[in-house]
Amino acid sequence: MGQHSDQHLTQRLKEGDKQALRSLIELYKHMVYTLALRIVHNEEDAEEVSQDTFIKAYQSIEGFKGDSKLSTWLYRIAYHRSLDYIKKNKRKPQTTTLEWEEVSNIQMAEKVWDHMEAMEKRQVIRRALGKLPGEDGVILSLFYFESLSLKEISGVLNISVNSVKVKLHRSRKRLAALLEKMMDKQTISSYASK
Amino acid sequence: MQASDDKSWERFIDKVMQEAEPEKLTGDFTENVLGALDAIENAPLVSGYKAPISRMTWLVLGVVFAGVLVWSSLGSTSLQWGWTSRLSTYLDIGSLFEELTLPALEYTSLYSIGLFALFVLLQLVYMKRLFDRRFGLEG
Repeated sequence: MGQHSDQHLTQRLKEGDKQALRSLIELYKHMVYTLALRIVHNEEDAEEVSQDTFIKAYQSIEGFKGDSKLSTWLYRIAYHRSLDYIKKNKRKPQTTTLEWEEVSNIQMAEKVWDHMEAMEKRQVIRRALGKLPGEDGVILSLFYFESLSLKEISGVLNISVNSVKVKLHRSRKRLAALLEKMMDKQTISSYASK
Repeated sequence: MQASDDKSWERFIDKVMQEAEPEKLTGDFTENVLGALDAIENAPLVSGYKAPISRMTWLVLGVVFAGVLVWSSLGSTSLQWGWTSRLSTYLDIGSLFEELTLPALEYTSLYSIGLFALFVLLQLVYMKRLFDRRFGLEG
């Protein structure tokens, strides 16, 4: 979304225009929900957090000075609301407990991946992202889905750019290891023989 | 070697993430948010007040209080509190009470008023906590 559109939408939101809120929700609901789901790891809870995020954003729009993109500001609210939700409900994020291992055979994994059906790929990646610890999932989602820069991600997570760089590196590594684990040996051998 | 490995699995993840997409919300999410916001905006600022101490309790307390007042003014004016007289036999605090020229009647009234004030004070503390909880001022 362009800067001009951002300003226009922000202005309308500040005027209390409900149609502007509708537009904001339609534009960002899936991404806000994705970020919430990465952290709370439960669809109903993620929907509740998303709803809460948009209401909070609408009520706090006066505080948005336009220093960042409207979407970045919204994602920051979603991220922190999700963390608050977990803290408030004393939920322990349900992520995989497997020890993070190095990718043993990247060529093989890549070969298997190339042979998989598009639908199957989407299912595997969805499951893998769901198993990642919250912050990893958020960083990967912001980086790949929204193409946010490291600086913008640092603004969302409220950490330094260097930390984002390190965490992004680690998140990719974890995802690769997880994918390799998920594409079990049988699958690997069946695809590899093709 | 390590750098080349890192590059190859980074490239792999770049490729994998091209196939991924954000999670999708189903149903009338937008309408739900707008509905929830309307509900918040249209909610009355002050919710219906329910007294922590019921009208009946106040009535009983009032009757008791009035009874004590009537009894203390019309009844036995030579009322002596047991503990003061007993204490005074061991401790020489009787003189303290002697210096106070208030008759027994006024002590009784004083205790009644003190008791009443205590109830009011307790209700104030209770109400403060109740309102803090109701309007989210805590935590």
